[in-house]
Amino acid sequence: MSITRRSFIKTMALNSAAAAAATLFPGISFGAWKSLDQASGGMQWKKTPCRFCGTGCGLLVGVSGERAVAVKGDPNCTVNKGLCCVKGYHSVQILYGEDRITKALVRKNGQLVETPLKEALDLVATKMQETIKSHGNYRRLCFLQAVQGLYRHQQPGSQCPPVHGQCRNRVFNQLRPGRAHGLL
Amino acid sequence: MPVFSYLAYPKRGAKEQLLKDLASLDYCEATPADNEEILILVTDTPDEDQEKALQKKLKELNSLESLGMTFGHVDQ
Repeated sequence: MSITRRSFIKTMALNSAAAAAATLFPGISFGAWKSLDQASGGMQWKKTPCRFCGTGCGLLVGVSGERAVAVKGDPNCTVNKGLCCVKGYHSVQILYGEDRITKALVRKNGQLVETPLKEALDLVATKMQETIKSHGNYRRLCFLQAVQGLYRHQQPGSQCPPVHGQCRNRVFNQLRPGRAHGLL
Repeated sequence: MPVFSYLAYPKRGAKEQLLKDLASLDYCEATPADNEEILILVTDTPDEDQEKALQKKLKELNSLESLGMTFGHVDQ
């Protein structure tokens, strides 16, 4: 992260105004605080969902240049209200883990071949479109749940949901809980 | 290169209008409070002449009741 003298002064200006406002109006809320942070130029906070489970927590990821450098819970997200679990708080470190999988294995002519992730995802998208065209939306939803379940199992330290228990992903649960889990 | 921050108080019922007015001015960044009739205004002008011109424009805003300065810095 690079921060200039100018952006530092500007951040101080923002903080001073916010502190004065909080003194005059206890409980005052600035929902657009993210844009204030961005104005300082040091780091931009990007809104994103947490990718680790189906709870649906909202995160704010601090980006400097092209690198994610910080993470915090989104205070405007009604699910986690500004908090994260330990997995959410470590999600940025995991992005740059040395043992992170950077290539996919795609079966070509019966052999698993290392393939760039973009190409593999394009292949998944193509297959999904073919499935939707031939079988309709319901099968597409089941497919998504299967992918998400597999993804959970691959996360070190993550809690896998019980195969025949209650799924935390309410959308899929409401649609067809038994069938969706059956694909896991 | 002056940098100032203010608490901006709009005239009664003119918070949204004040936000629009401030957003239309150069060198101004305004953020409204969600639950109070108040905005944070930060100005960042390139030189003192521009700063004076901006102050004049701010005084002419019909939607603005008053400004309370909370921070000021001018490079020597």
